[in-house]
Amino acid sequence: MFRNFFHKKVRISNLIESNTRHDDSNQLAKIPHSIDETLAALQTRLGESKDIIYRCFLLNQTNIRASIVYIDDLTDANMINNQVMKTVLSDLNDPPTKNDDLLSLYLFKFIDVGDVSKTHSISEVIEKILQGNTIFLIDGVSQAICIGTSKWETRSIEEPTVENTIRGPKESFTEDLKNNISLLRRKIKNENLRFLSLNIGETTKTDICISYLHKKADPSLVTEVKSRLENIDMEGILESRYLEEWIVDHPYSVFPQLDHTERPDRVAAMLMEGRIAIFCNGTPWVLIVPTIFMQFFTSPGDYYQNFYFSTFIRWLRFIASMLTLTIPAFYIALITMHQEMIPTQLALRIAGSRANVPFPAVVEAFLMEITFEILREAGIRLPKAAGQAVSIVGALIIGQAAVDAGIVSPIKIIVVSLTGICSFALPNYSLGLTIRLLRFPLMILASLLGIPGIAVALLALLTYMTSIKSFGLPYLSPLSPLTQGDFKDTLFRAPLFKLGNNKSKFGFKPKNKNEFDIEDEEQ
Amino acid sequence: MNLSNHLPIISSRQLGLILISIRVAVMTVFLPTAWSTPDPKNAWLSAILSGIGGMIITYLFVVLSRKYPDQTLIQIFETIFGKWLGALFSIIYLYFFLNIASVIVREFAEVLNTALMPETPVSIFIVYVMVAVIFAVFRGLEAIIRTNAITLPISLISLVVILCLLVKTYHPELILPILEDGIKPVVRGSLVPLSLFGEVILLPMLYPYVQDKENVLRYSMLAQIISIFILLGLILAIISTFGAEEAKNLTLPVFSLVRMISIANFFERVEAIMVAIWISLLYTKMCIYLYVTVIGTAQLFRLKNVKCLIFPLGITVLILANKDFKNLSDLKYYTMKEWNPISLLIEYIIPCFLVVVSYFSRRKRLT
Repeated sequence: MFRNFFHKKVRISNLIESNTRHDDSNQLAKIPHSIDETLAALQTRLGESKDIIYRCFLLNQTNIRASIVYIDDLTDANMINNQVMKTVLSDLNDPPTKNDDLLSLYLFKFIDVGDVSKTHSISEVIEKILQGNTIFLIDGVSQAICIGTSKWETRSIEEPTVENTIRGPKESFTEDLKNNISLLRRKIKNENLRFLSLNIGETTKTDICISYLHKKADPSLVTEVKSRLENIDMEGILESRYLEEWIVDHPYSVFPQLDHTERPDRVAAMLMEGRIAIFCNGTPWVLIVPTIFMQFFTSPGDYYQNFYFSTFIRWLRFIASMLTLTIPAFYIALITMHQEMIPTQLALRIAGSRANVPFPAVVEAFLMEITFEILREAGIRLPKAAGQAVSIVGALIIGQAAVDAGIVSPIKIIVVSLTGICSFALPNYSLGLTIRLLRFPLMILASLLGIPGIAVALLALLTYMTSIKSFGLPYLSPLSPLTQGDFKDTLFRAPLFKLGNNKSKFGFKPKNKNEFDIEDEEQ
Repeated sequence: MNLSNHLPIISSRQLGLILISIRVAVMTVFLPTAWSTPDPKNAWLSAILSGIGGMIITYLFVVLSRKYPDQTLIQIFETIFGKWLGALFSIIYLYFFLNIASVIVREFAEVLNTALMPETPVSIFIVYVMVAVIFAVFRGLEAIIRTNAITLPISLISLVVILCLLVKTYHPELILPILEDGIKPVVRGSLVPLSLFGEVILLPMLYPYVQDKENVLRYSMLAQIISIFILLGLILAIISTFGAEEAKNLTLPVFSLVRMISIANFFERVEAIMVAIWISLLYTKMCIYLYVTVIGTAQLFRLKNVKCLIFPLGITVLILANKDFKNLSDLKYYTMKEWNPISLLIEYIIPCFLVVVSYFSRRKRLT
């Protein structure tokens, strides 16, 4: 049985190998002289797909045979009818003959479309077809003209769904790369705004775009980002997270190391600070490189409101994140080991409410925290209409009933809901996930070793955070190592006229090549 | 990673912060002078005296390191005394570092056991904290030092706030009279804090990694002065709160002091803050001493792979920390009395000798 399986596997892998070899030979294949051969070659490569259209005709009332090939759903039918077909079928006063340089003639003279190029290779022709170009082939010419006619349905620009602000632009990126680039171009009208294009993913051939401000962004950072992206070896890239996991410095780290945003204004602000944005076709989420920890506590809304209030809000976010991480652990530690630290009145109250609870504090805490996580997950999965019902059942019925039944104490319910609400106060969702996850080991340590357990764990966590880097930039800068100038826009939000051009100094200075070393081992 | 791929880079300010941290750590636990001096009333004079001694040795270490800017203490020994004698000195110093690390680990465990969780066995704390320390040392010098740069300011600010909150309990008249029994007890009392201030011996071990070497003297002196002020503040607060005789008998004087805080029947029982300060300071001290032992051993045996030493040396510290101390007072007696002459020898006398020898050896080379 196993032998068969093995054989089968070998056969499959052989098949794949021979296929790839076949592909390799095709990669180099030139377009044949005869149009029939070319079309036949294209048909074998592209297979029997009904959306691919091969239209053959005679060129401008002459006897020269020609053909256009395109994919129906990816192209603009209007453009093909009115511009391409009209040009190649119209009756010219001075029709071209076989002896003319037909290719150049059409490329430079007749076809009235902006984005036109020529190519030799079959593979490139196929690539262009799949991107929505129209391919124009002429009999007797071993080259093809690619006409940019791509057009497809996209979602219109809508309000951001996750990164909401009260004041500020109400547009967000969509799944379409071109659209996203245009949104950014409209924000920064500067000749220094550059877009480097890459194709990643063996199967999906996803368009990736590295965007940066020339002269602002560190050139070595741009090359580093590019080389890391080029090293990605993956079948398909469906979301920018796929890129993130490949290019971060510490792939096994639990902390989010790249910021992502769906707001053009945030990307524009980041580019002006000298950072680099990575656009990925097919997702509205744009990655920002390099990212520091403090960045996760900022929101674009901070710059659109009073700076005193923004600073206050940022501090609230710090506190909220600390609370999410530590409150359940401290609850366990105080209840089980350090009752003497709770003020007497409160201690009596807690003891009274816990008198009927049959579980130790750890079990109680885990029970409720995990229930809450399940409720949250269910809330995301359920259809919008049912989501409300879940929250009612979850919050009111389970919470109230659990207390009434004496399974948990009301204090624990308060702790759980406080943790939950605090975790929502963070502007960045992925940091919230990290913190939510880390609180569980912390709870276990608290139940074993009390406050020392929590404190040492937090210190080790801090040590870990100070040691990691994001593209050469220490993760915890500007806190440590200390760069005083950068406090203006991290711990505080200074008035914009004070931030001024200093905003660009976010401390990125790779001292040597080693700083970019991707770490192999991770604890 | 930091340890193997490229040399860690620290700034002189961070070095200064770590020098504060290693000294304040022990002060907040044991408060050396008040206990050791025969004349506790004048303990603050002893503190100043030992502080001056500490400043002198700091200066000497900076002078020594400036002469050999790319070498740690271990390598300096080899340069000056040659291979075998240098190795002998190196081993003495490495054992010294290792012993400090293990004593601090033990101190950490004993303090938590005494102050917070009397029912939890000491060895559990030792094992737990050593896991964290070994992890931190694996993350490298930069990580340890940067962590300290975040935790130390917070600890110091909390300490100052605590001292300020206690203002109403102070009775300054308890400090008087000054120099009741003459200068002799003051000098004798200054020996213990002198060994504490001598822990600036870390400076020549870390000097090669400092980027802005020209500022080292300034920041290490500043660190010394800040440490003196903290020690002074703590001594004065404790003696003027409890009186000299009672202060002498307290096991954990600063902890007892913090317990006095009670404001508006609400802000009380802030021992947790004190415990947090202890944990963060002692953690840094354990990490840095283990780190120094590790790199020192690697340099002594010329090992390329520093990382492979962390685990065995960490386990050694763990085992040494399980040494037979009965309780906190026993440990205190050991660190303050038995260990004191040895540490004075290692921190003051040998380095002075070293500076003199290095001075002459250089002259010899020139002529």
